[in-house]
Amino acid sequence: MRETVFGAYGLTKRYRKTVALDCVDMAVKKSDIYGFIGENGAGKTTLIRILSGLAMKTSGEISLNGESAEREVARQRQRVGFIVETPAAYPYMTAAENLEVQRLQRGIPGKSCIERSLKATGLSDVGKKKARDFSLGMKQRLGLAMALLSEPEFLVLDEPVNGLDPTGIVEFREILKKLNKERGVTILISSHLLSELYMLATCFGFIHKGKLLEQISVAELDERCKKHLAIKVDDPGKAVFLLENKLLIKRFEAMPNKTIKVYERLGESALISRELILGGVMVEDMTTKGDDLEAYYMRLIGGNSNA
Amino acid sequence: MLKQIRAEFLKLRKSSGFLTIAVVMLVIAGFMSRLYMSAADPVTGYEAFKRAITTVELQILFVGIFAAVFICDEFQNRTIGASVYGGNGRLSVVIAKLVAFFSGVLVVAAVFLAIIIITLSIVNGFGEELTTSTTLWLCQAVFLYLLGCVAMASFSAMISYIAKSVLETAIFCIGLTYGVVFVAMRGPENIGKLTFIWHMAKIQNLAGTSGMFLSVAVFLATILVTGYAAYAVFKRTDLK
Repeated sequence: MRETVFGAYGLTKRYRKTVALDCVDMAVKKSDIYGFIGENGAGKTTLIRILSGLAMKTSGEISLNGESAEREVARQRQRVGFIVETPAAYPYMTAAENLEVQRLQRGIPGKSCIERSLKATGLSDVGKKKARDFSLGMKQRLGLAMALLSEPEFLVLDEPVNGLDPTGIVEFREILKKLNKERGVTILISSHLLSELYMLATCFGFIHKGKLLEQISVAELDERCKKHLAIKVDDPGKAVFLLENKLLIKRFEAMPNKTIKVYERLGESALISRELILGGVMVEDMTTKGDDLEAYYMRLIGGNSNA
Repeated sequence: MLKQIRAEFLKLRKSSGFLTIAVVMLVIAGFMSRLYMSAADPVTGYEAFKRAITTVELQILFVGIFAAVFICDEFQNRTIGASVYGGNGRLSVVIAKLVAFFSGVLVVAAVFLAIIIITLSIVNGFGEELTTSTTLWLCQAVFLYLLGCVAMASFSAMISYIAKSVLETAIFCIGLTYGVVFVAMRGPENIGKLTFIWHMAKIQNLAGTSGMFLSVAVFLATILVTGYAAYAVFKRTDLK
């Protein structure tokens, strides 16, 4: 079983009367790319801020690399790269100077990491331009350069592609994929761009109104989202026989609630229905089901929230 | 802690706000020297020193604005967060910031004093024979002056950690310190004696006497109490 890099156990955060996080249990496993999904105000940033040490929890526990004592968690943060909302930089410093401050704060020996991070994020050519003159996209890149400076084992990214142009988003995704694949970097990433998250993440956590609704792997998600015909019948055994022998359908799945999920010939529902009825099977219901990540999320939270 | 202190010194060196304030203070030192030079009675270097170490109001302005620029800027730019998630405990973050801030205050205050003394000594002479007792008094007065500046800086730092906004901190630092000046100078003397301002204003009388030990105690107590208060506030603060 893979080790848990970050764990939250009954994590709760209250701001006066508002509950931002309500007893959240969550686990990010080593080498995962964890897509953290929720609408505005769902609690994503609050959880990331507690993880980064920017905000204090009201109750519950967090663990980082297996450590849960406050002092040890603070120490473990050295091994984590963070981008929390819009990256913060010293406006009167250049990109390299900002990275030098980070290098000193994290106690990273040698200055080669600065050049490497600038190169990896496409900021090698900014020269003496001060951070205050950077575009939003450049600031995002600088934030990523800061996060990558210590060659972290765990990256925590809160809305990291905000402000990036489409090319920047693709580049960003490729950098993260490469880090995950080549160095096994664990990534916790929140984003409103669900299609982008789907291309990147290996598992997902859905948070809504401060509660973590579900954590699933991408395989489980695909399984649940897969397009299929859901046929509810009175006699599943007979229906399976007819599907296999009469309709020559191979890809189907019999569920315990007398429903059969059929994954092929989805456009021939009328024919399937007729053959089942002619074979003496009562078809109680037949619908086409299957979601993309966005639809799945919307169905999960049961509304039209702004994801 | 050391790595955080090194980072804070880099920020101090690169801070345009600090450089601007330092230059303004040096210009003021030059201006004050010019004023002393044009006085009817010639002001010697020694006399100028005595006057300069009691320019409390000017120090209040300088330290208050410097605290606002150097400490609150971090809250407003949200760069303070990087210190925290860089793996440093909040106590280390506060101590490192105070060490760099106090150092900046000390350098500017010392250079300010040096410019006035050197300029006036060159023009009108030092005006006092440098005997052992005079030298000792000078050393004690300089020590009290610099320690007083650090106490004032610590007080301003505490306000910065509470207010977190550049403008509010500058206003509160200056306003509250003038409030302390009022209590120290106009209020009952036994209360005034407990304030760092009172001791700063009386340095030339207290240096070389047993009264300076109370001054040192008050300055140190101010640094410890306000420094701890700054940490206590910061420890409970949710950062943006």
